[in-house]
Amino acid sequence: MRIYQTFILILAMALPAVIFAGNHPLHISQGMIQAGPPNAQVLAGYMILENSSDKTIVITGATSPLFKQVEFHQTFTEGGMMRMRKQEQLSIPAHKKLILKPGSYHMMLINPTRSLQPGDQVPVTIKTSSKNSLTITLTVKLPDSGMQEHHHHH
Amino acid sequence: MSQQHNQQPQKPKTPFTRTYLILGIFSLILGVALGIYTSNLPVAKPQLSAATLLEPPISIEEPGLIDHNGQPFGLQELRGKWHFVFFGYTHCPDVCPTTLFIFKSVAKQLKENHDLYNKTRFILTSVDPERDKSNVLKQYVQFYNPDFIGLTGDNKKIYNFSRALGVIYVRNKPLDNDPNNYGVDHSAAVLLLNPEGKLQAVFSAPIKPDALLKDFQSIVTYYKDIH
Repeated sequence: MRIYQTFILILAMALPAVIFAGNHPLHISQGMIQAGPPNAQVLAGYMILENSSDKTIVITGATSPLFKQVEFHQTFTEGGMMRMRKQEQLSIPAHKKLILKPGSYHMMLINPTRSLQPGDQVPVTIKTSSKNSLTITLTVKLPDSGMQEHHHHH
Repeated sequence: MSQQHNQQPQKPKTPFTRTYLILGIFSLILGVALGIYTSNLPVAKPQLSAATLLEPPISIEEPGLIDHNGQPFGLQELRGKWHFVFFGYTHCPDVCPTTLFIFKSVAKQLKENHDLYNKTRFILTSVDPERDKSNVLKQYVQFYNPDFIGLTGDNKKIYNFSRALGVIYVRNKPLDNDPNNYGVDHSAAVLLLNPEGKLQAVFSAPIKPDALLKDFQSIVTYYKDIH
């Protein structure tokens, strides 16, 4: 009886999340903002963006109440340098993923309104060309110690 | 009785001494020859997976930079310790924090397992001295490790230091009509300077912490062998 009640309770708690996620064709997983020094003026956000719909999703920008500006950039190697190119939009084809990770595509969060610590929750609204915006919460985290190299391989 | 005993060992004294003398001289010649031979044998090159070893190491001119405490930092400060040098800037969101977290991880492993930590320092040299003053760099690098060093200074001197170490960087035009919103593209290699302040090895990006640590230990051992 108690197990049954617990099950109903868990289901009830999980339901809003399921409905929320199910409503939007864009799924975001493994999201994080990499923690930085207290005076860091820019931080990077990494995540997996997955398009579960049959149509291409075009991300046109992002905003956060905790940052003056949020942009998307791509790090790439050219002429012996690591360069960054601002991405005015990101296209995710139907049923495809776009991975934001170190040394590649990333979210660039500029001018924080306050110093952010590991564990802080940052709301970020992602805007799409279909005017169907999605608000997510990213946690500020330190990278896994010494595990940086694995990110580069995938 | 006692006289006989005394005389008996004295009789064969001369041939024994001659034998020892010949043996001694022979050993000495052999020893010297062996010494000369082994000192001329090349020391085995370290097996490296990530680093490019520079032989001979490359001397650099006086950098004449300023550290995160506002103190002069040059060749004198570079001598006596190994230095890992990375070029970046505090407004860099992706590559620089990633590399500094790698430095943090390598420093932690060095500290836990090796006394080499006390002979090794990690440096972030700013390619954006306009925004990265000493006080900014201090708070920035010390978030990663209180022992890390931040270098800034005169634009021309930073440029010369970067060129001496084979690093290039380019400041981009500001974005969105905001003069403060600009990026600086730069080489993401990590440079290793030996305790003479000479460029000893280059680690090209992407940097892998385990490989960097392993190669560093091999290079230090090799350096001791040839000195």
